Amino acid sequence: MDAPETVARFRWPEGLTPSRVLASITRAGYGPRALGRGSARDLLLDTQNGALAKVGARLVLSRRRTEILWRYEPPTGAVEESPTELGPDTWPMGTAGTSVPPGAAAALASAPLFPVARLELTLREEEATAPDGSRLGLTFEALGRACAPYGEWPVPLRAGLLTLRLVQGEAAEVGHLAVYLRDHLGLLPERRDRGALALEALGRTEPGGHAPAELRVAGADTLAAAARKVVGQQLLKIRANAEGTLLDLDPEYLHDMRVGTRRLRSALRIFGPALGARRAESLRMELGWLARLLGEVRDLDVFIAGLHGQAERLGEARRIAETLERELVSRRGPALEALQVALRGRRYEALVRRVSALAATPVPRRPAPIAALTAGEAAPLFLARAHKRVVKQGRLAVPSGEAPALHRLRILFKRLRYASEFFAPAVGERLDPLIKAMVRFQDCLGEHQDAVVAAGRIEALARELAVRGDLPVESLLDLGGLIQVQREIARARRDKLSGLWAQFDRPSVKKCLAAPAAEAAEPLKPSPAKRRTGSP
Amino acid sequence: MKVAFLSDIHANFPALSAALQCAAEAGAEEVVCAGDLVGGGPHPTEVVRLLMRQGVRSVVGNVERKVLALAADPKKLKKVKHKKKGAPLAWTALALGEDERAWLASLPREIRHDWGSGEVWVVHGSPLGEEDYLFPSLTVPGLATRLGGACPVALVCGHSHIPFARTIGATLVVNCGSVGRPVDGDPRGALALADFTPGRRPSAKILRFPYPVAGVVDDLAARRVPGVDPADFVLGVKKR
Repeated sequence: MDAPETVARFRWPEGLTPSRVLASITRAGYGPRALGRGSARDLLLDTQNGALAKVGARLVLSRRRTEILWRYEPPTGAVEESPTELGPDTWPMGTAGTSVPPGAAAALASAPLFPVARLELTLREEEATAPDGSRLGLTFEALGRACAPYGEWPVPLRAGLLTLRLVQGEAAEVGHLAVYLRDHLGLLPERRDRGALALEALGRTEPGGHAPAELRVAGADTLAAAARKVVGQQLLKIRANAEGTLLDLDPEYLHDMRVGTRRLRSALRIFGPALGARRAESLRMELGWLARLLGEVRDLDVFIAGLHGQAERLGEARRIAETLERELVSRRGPALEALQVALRGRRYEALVRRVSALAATPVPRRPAPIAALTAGEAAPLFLARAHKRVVKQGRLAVPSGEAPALHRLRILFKRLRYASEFFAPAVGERLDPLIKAMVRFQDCLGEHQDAVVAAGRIEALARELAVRGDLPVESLLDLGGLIQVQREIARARRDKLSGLWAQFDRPSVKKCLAAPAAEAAEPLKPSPAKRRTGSP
Repeated sequence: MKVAFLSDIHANFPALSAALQCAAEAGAEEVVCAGDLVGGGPHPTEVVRLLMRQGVRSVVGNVERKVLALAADPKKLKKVKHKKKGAPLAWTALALGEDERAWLASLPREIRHDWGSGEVWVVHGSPLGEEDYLFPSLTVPGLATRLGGACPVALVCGHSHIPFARTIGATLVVNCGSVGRPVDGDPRGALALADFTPGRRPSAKILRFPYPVAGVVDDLAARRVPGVDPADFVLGVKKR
């Protein structure tokens, strides 16, 4: 038998009072005991990448009368609560939660927290003892209003939820009482918790932009349907990170928004024939505008973070790194402002609307021949073509080690990786080890590219500072040392590349990518390459 | 007095819930169960607990006997767990708690009771045993063989899953059909509503009631009940 669920949720219909539910379960042999009732104001929090939402957990800062509590609702097991002095209205944005319950602390690993939504509700908490002695928590929640975390107008919810949760004892008891509530009292099961209901009412997505089940590509989907799902997934990611980018809450919001934009552009290129080539191309061009704006800020973020790390290790040469860092920070402001203006503008709004319309367009009754193929059938065609291009470029670029050729290889490689990731759910698990190896190779190429660009940028910056007279002569040697560090990073990554490349230029990789989805091709096991990060 | 007779619930809680509601709406003052409460469905614990709590009198069915025998013999339980035929029973034996098993073990083989119009016998298969079947084609000599010279005013049974109510000779024979596993092509559950008004001949009718099959189908998958085809519940048939 599978492990039974330890949490069950139901819609709580308006006509049914908690007292009636409790009276009924008492007759069925459960002994309820009141724990508390009252109104509450909740602030739902999560990390930038939705670490809690990903595993089905919630962390709430809850104000109940005069008491303020951290409330951690794990995916399984009992709710954990701990008192705190921070209020839902005075939450310091982007700080790691202090005094959070131990379960939440383990799940968060000191990552900063950001508000997801605000909620007003009334609740009643009971504990029922099952016939076998197990203890079950029952929470009746009448959701009043939900509000976005950054001062938008509240939205009425008017929904009731009954959550059943194992506190202690046999997990099967949750299932027994859930069946009783469903079949004897006629309560409708509900998969979403109050956070998900609030986000849905507010038209927002879960933090991290995790794709819901309806957007997951299946092998039997036609290419036309799969393409729309992939576009929908990436749009979700862009929208989930747009607010954090606009408010500059954390550089990771911007990074994830950029990744979403890149992947969306890649999806439009790959699935163009299945989406309508002209429409897809026009959107891809327009997304290029957004990608450029995001890229300008992100490149500065990466450069600043890299310099900051190196400045700490450079000893006496750290002064020049700090001078350059200050200069870069001063340039980030205008680049971010340009991005923020764009994100508040009509052009961005129209772009999102167009992508959204494309994702929602019904699949044509008579699609083009390629679009009528299933995702499982189409995957080998697309992946084999992308792999062929990568191999052709790789055989030129890796031995030569020239930066422009390696940069081109990086772009082609990214397309292959994105295509593999789009098709992976349709093809099956056999692509997983290959995708992991692709990520390692691409990271190495990325670090090489960053080092090459950084060396050029440091030179250019130094020239500008020297012209302005902001660069003292005595720091020229330090500057040379800094450029040398970048060159050494680039050289080390080039040396590492040839070893990693050998994993991809193999007939078995070609066979794995070109095999039909149904064929039980042996999963690839590329030799694990040791990952090296940071400067030499 | 109106009495509702249920049989062959087969661990189908939504069907039992709907049957109890149907019986209450039809004016039944008492509910009696003719065995096979568990086995072949995803809700054995829920069914037994509800019947215990509601004080429903019941006789033991052939499935209960097998389940209890398996629960008492861990070696045999381990052996049949992976066999196609025994797997659903083994699953049930493992799913039931001690209290539920004890209650099942306490069930009598038959109930003889007078509800006002004479003695009524309630058995699972027939008075001969839980594995014997009573079909609508039952004849007077066939009934006489089963009753062994006795003459109750009514004989209530289940087991065959084919509901009928017929007066054969001087005895009203009622087969309640199945609450949770109908096999006559009608996916609705069945129960028998008998009227034992003093001074009148007892009468009975078969009531059919719908119930949410989706809950059973979902739970069969969620609880991984082996050897049960969800389509049987949807279509009201049993593939042999």
